[in-house]
Amino acid sequence: MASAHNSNDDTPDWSGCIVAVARSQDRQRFGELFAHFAPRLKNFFMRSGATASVAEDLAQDTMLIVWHKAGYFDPARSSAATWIFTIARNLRIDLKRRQRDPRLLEEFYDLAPEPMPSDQVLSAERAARVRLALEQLPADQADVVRRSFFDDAPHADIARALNVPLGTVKSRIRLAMQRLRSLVEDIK
Amino acid sequence: MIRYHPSLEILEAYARGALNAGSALVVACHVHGCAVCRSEAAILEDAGGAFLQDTTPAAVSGDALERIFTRIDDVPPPSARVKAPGFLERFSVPAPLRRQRVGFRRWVTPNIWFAPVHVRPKPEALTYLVYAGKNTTLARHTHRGQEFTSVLYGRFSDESGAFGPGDFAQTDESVEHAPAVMSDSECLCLISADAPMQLLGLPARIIQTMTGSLY
Repeated sequence: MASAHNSNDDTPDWSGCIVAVARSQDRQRFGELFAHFAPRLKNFFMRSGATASVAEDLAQDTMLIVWHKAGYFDPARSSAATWIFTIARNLRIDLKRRQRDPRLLEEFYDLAPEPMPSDQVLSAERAARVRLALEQLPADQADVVRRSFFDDAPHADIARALNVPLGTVKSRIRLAMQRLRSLVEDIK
Repeated sequence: MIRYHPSLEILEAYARGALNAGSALVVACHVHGCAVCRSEAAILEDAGGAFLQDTTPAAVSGDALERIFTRIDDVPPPSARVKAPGFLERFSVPAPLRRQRVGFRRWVTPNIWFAPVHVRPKPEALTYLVYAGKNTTLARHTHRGQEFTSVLYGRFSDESGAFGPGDFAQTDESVEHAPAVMSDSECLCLISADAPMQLLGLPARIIQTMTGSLY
C-alpha cells in the first residue's frame, strides 16, 4: 500500500502524494497531505494577520487548489512544500487586495511556469539545499528573512519589533540571500 | 543579454506579493525572461516552502478534510481568455502580459504611442505600454514617486545606460531623463508608475495639457 513515506528513509514523500492526486484522484494520499500541510497553512495565514477562522478557510482554499492543480505540479522542478507555499502566497495577495478569486493571481504568478533551458538546477534538490542553508544561517538573518518573506511583515515593522535600524533589516536580508545563493550555486 | 535587473529589495517584495498589481506585472515580465532573477525568486520561494514545513501547526477543525471532499466537485470556472490587441502581435510579449487586458493605443506623435494595461483587481499605479519608433526621443521628463520599466522589444538609452530586451529599469524623482531610441531599432516598454511622468520644458507641458495625456 502506497503511503507518504519513502521506503528508504523517514522523509515523507509529499511530492508523491501530489502526483498520486493528479494521476488517480487518490483521496487517501490527499488526506495525508492535508493532515501535514493544512495546520501549517493555517498558521501561515494567522502569522500574516488573518483571524483563526479566516486562516482556516484560506488553508482549505489552498488545499482545494492543490487538489485541482495537482496535474500542474512537476516534482523535478519544485518541491511539494515550495509549490504549496506559492499557492498560499498567491491567496495571501488576494486577501490583501480584498479579492478572493484565485484565478486573478494566475495572471502574474505562474503556478507552472515554462521551464527554461538555463534553469540548470533541479528544483527539488535546490529546495532541500535552501532548507538546510536556512538552518545554517546566523539566527538573526534567518529570523529577518522569515519575518519578511513568510510573515509578510513590512521591513519598518520588523525593525521596530527587533529594535534595530531599518538598514540593519535590509542588510540582514541581503546577507542571507547572498549566503543562500552561494549555497545553491554550489550544486550547479 | 539582460544587463539590468530589479534590486534584491524589489525582487523580494515581488516574490512575497508586497508590490501593487501594476508594479508586480512589470517585474513579472522581467522575471519571466530572466534566468538570474527566476533563480533568485525560486530561492525565496524555496525558503517560503521550508518555513512552511517548519512552522508550528495550528489545529484545524475535525471535519476540515471532510468539508474539502464535499467541495472538490466544484470545479472553478476557467479564467476568461483575454485576446491581445492586434497591434501587439508582432512583438511576442511575455506571458504575464498576454494575460492582461490592454486598452486602445493612442498615438501622441507619429512615432510614439501609449496603451493602458487594465491590471486587475485594481492597478494602484498607472500601468501602460509605450512604443517609440526609430530615431525618436521622448520629451525630457522626471517622475513623481517610483517608476518601473521592462523593455519588451528593441532598445532605448538614456543618461543611465543602454537598455535592451528583458532589461529592467527603476527610476524615481531623482532621475531626469529623455529616453531615446536609436536608428537601428524601435522600442516597446511596459511601465508602471505611481504618478504620470512630469514633462520638463514648456512646449512639452502644453502638448501634454492639450492632448490630455494621462501618462
